[in-house]
Amino acid sequence: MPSWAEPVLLNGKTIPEMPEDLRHSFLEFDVQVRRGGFSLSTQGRFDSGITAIFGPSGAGKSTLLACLSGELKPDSGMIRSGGETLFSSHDAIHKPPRSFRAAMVFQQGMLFPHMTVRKNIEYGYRLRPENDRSIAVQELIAILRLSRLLHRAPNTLSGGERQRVALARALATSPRMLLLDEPVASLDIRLRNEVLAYLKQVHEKYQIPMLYVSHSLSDIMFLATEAIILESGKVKWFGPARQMVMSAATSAGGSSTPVENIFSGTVTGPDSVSVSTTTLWAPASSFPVATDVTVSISASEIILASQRPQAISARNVLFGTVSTVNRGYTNVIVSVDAGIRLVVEVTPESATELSLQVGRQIYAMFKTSSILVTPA
Amino acid sequence: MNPNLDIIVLSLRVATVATLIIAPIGLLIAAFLVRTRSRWRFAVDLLVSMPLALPPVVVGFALLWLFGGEGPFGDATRGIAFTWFAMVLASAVVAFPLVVRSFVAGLSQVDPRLEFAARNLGAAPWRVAITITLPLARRGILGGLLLGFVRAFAEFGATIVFAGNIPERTQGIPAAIFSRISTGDFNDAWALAAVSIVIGGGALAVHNALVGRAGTTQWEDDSRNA
Repeated sequence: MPSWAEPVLLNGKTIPEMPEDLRHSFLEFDVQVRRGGFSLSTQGRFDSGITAIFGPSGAGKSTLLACLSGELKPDSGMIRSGGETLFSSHDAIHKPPRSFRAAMVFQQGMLFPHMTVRKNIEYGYRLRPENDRSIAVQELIAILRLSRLLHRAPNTLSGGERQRVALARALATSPRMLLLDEPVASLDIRLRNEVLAYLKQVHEKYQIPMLYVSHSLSDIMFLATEAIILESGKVKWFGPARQMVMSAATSAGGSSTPVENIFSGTVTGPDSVSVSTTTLWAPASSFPVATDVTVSISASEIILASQRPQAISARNVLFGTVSTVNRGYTNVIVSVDAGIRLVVEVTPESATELSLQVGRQIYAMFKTSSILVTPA
Repeated sequence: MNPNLDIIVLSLRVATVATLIIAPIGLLIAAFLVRTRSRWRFAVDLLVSMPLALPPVVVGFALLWLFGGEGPFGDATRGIAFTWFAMVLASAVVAFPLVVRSFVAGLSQVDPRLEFAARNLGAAPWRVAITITLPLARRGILGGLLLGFVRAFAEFGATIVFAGNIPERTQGIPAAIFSRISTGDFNDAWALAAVSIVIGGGALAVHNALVGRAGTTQWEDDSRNA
């Protein structure tokens, strides 16, 4: 459930009013931090979805997570979670990090190097009172496929394995929310897709709200329902994640941020996968039929055409309707509903030539080799 | 009973007790130096490092003034000078900077984000210290303890001023060697010197094996564990 039904531009102190039934939203905050020349002043309320926090480095993303995890005491403001006040400068309340129950997953995993994988996972689990443990370690080991790693030392793990363990360690504390600080930023694209798929799966299973800090529009589009743009310590924008991705991808700095379409799919043959009801020709021969996979296609690899091409080497030809058009100076980002929602990047010239506008019917094409299939 | 044996036992006991006294204080000071951004860090660092810069005789003289009855503590501490405990204090002060330096090196190797992660997983500060910080800084800490022991075991200058050189009471190995040389008792002096070399050198060898060869830092080793 989006906590804010509609995109809201935040300026100064206005927070949209919460509906009564969301009064005990999992997280509500209004924090101010001043450090030298930097100042963070943000407020927000979230519910059980995945909210992305996007913004340039130095925007205050990590500072915000540090506040929301209880690690950094804000100079003023309040933080409430599940109806419990964790920090309030007005009432002089400042609870220790363990009361926040906001489990972090760091970019580098931050696994304890002197403990085995199992000890890492059990570290926080053992610190929770027994009747407060809602997530079993055994279950996490099964879901995140960690059983063969349990006796390994963290320094022997691959980047993807390390992040799976870090995710399990965080979830084993039965947290009220997960704070993800660029958890896939240091992984290559295959491992990234794998970890993203696990994150999505874990969210579907446990419905734990997640705040997901990322520089990657692709990740955000795949995972998040809402997004925040943080700039110079202030919330510049809040709204649906997809809308944020579209506009950020066409903003001045956006053209350097490649966007990818990432989908969860199932292998249907050696060269085909199905994504919801659409079948795509894709290089899937290394997976058995019926394997769950992640499928990604770069937005710039998709070609648009106003008429069905007669002879073309690209095997995937989808017919759909343009649902959004975001025009930037150097590129135009188009969203096409073609059974699956595709994000396509074209040049402004092409957009004009094709007279791209909302409601336009169009063919979207891409080669089999433009699709990357990775394990889910 | 061989009187030399009593001397050796006294030296070992003094060095051990001095090391045990330094350990908790040194850890607190090292943690303060590594983990805070206090503007007092420079002053505290300089103060605890001073014994490195001073002739040990000056340290002994300062201790004698502080605890000898004329200093700030007055009569309350007059009884300490020229006792077994004065030997402990003198060696502790002289060994202290080496221990703190080693502890600081050990604690600096611990990524603060690992401590952050532990707190985030629900650990109280004391638990973070015991389960994360100390195990990860263990080589610097054990190394510091061994180095402190070695230095305390070899201590002479501050001790002889503050504790004297009283046979059977405040005469450890170095003071005993000094006395033997003064009286021309070279065989005994050589025997005690040999004991110094074996015990001090042995502890130093363990230290070096633990902390690593000169030229390899703990960082290089831990980067493999990151």
